[in-house]
Amino acid sequence: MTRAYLGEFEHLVLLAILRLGDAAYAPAILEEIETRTGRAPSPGSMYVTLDRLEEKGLLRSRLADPRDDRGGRPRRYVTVTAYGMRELRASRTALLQLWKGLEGVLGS
Amino acid sequence: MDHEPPPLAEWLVQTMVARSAFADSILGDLREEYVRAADSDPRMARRLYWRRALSIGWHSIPRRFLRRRQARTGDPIMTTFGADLRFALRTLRRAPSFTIAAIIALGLGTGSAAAVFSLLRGVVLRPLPYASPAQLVTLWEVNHTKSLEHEAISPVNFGDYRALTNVFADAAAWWRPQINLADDAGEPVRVNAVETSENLFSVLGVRPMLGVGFPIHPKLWGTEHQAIISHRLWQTRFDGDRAIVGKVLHLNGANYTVVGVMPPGFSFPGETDVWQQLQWPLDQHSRSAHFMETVARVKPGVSLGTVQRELTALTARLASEHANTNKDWTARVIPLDHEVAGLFRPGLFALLGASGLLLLIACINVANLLLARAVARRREVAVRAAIGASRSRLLKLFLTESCVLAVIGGALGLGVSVGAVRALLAWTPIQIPRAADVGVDFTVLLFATAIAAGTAIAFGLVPAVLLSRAELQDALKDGARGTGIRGRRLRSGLVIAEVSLAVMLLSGAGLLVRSVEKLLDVDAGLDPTSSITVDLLLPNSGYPTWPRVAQFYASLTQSLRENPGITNAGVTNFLPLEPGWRLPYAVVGQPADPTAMPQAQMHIADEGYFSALHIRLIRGRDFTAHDDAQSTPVVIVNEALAKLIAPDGNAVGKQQVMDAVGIGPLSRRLVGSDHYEIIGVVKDLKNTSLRSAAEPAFFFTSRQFAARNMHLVVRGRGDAARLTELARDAVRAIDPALPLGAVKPMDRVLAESVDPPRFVMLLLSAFAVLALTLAAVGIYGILTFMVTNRQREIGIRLALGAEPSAMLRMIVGEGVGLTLIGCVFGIAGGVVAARALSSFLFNVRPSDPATLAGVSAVVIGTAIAACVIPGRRAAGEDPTRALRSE
Repeated sequence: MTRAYLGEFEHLVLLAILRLGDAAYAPAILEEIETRTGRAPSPGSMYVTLDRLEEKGLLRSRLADPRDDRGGRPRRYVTVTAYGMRELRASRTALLQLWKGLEGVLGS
Repeated sequence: MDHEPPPLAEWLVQTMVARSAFADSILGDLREEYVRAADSDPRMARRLYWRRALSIGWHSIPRRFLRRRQARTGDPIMTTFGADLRFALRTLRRAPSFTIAAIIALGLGTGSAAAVFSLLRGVVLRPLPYASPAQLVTLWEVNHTKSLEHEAISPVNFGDYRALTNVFADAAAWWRPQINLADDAGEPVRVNAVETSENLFSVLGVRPMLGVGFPIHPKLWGTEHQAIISHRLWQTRFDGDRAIVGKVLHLNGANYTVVGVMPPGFSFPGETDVWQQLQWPLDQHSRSAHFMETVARVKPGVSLGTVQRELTALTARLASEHANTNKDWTARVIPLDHEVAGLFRPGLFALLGASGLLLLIACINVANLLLARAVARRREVAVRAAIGASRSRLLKLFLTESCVLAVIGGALGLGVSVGAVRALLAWTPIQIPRAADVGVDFTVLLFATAIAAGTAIAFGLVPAVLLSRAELQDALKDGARGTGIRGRRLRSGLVIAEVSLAVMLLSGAGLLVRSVEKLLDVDAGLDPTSSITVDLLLPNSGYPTWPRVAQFYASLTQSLRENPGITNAGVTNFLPLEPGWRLPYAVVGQPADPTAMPQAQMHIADEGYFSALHIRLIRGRDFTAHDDAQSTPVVIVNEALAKLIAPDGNAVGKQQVMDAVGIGPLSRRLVGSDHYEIIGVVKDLKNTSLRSAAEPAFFFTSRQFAARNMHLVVRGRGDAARLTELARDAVRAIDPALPLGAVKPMDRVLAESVDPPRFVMLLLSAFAVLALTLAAVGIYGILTFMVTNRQREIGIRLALGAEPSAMLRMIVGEGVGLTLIGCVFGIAGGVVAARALSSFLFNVRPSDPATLAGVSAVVIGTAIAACVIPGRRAAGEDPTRALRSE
């Protein structure tokens, strides 16, 4: 099986899910990304990305109980799968390897 | 507390995510957020919901349609429309210069064609809003010996024309007195008024919206003192008061009863607000007084040719029966709609032709761009085919791309046409007839877009079609090189066509620019700078006697001349380019045939008029303040008249006889004798149009021949606004109740007569510039393609020691060669097409060498500029790189 590449946005979403732990559902993930990065992704792309990540097996979702303030509809909570964790770790290692020795280049 | 999200947005999301396993949770997320936000600000929350819904909807498009296709056919991703669309957008984005050039060409071509047609339809083609408008005609008197082609008619002749009952069902006539309107509603104002025969509205087939209108007496006039007002005046001055009918208006001090209000939008003739019942018998006037306009209704089934023949026969009879007034005069018939549109009719038709050419150029340009792209993508197409794309699959791909171009180009065209029409109507200083009703014509826009889209699609499919011809293997092997001679010839032909069409438009524009320039250069006999004119009309009520009228104008000009900000001030009853009254005159001591007295234009001026407009006095003296009612009657003649009176032009000292005591209600003679001493000769002042020589004319002083309606002329320091202010103050100081009529800078008075040719010139120039730009893009495109194509040849030549400058020359030479061929065709076409502009040309022949040379120079210069970039690329080619690319 070919390895699934992690796109930049996918990367962000997975990290945000990890940070949120049990409370990771779409609006919360959007908010987390926005507060951490200052960038507000569009909600449309968020749902598409969640579906895609799930199709790739990088995350798993679970429907909670219906709630009144949601018109009797459930929340979809997501968690990163073991495979997702592995991909994140691989990405991080690759990035760190590439960054090694380059800190000075940025002049910061 | 009701926190329901906007149902439409909710429906949108529901529909778009219907196939997702998590549709419910998405709707739930949105609602949760909405409920939270709505607590503090419901409007904000709704907006947020909509934003999210649209975002989700947009991102769900591919998945939604993808899933459906998969469910049905199991095809791979590339067969879906949504994906094709995204792919097309991406490829277009990757070739921005191609995309922008194509879209701009499409947008400008379609937009300008639609804009011009919208104007043409609104101003010229739309039927007039009267009953059976095709039957309505206007009649004008013509005197070829005096080159008068379009004169108002005499009321007495009108009676004879109307009596042609075998061709006319009926006819109405009117003239335009100057009217001050006073009433209980507010300050007195000047209104556009006509005094009309009672049957005007029945001839047009329009009835008043309120009231019964005029009674119709057998002789079409009456003494009831009735008036009808326009809907506009009714609304603005009388607040739409329905009780207006039966009320009394004071028109120039006399009382008129309102008997009707016309329906909205009716203001015929021109922008009329008040229609006055005719007060006098039409047959009790002079056959030599040409001042009435007329509209007649032709009987059904009678052709214009028949009407014209009947008129010609009648006027021939009148000319022999009334030789002293009607000799050399005939009449012509002009359909009412042609008359209303005037010069804008040939002008807009010419522009429509021009915009058609521009659309053609745009299509050629798009075709050219797409062909170039087809060649560049040959390899890509081959690869796609090699990995299994079917022919129809490729066609669909390229079709999508072309459609995207056409749709974006069409949208730009829509913007261009709407913007152009609005901007033109809003900013043009030119009076366009019926402008109020011009709207963008979407049918035409659609038509133009269809043509452009057809072009884009036809040529967009070329890459796919080429594939079937060229061998796949070949294409894969030699990549960018060569489409063979055929493709190049086709593209060269297109460039030549583009250049020649651009040359046609440019030469048309050039001829008009020269004409307008020459018209504006015409010496009108005066200096129109730093001066304004103000229209004044003294009402009978405040100025019951003629000496009072003369006194008013004398003191007004006197007080203005004393103002340090004013160089000089005077009055005249006809502005430059306005013909005066044409009246018979005699000269004492010269034999005269009483049946054929010569005629000259009569004007009224004063001692400040000639110097205020810098009109040169050639002989004798100017009027003075002492030339008044108690003094010797005096007259000043123009050069043309002086030459008629005395062959050496020295008419000063001779006695001119003019027996008119007054002209209508507007003017009156204040001196006893009808013998006037000629005291001076002034330089000819254009008194019909800039195009024709001045007619013989003479000037009385307003102190001896007073008129109620005069144009005050003021020259001084400061701008028009400042001069207007000074004039207004001076008028107020003498008569605070007197309204000021139209105020115009003097140069505007002259420029107005050049407006229609200038209007056509401006639009045509804009088209020509666009055409030239498109042609330049075309030349640039083909040369760039050529350089790429011959990279290997150029590389070898350079490697063998050719000078880089020779390469530059070779490429530029190629481009200029195409341009020259285009110029030859274009000039030939331009000379033929210029006939459509003949009514706007002045002192310029369609084959004017200076214009044609100038146009060619501009085109060749532009072509060279377009050649330079590809040429320098060829010259700067690195031989090793060029050879290695093999």
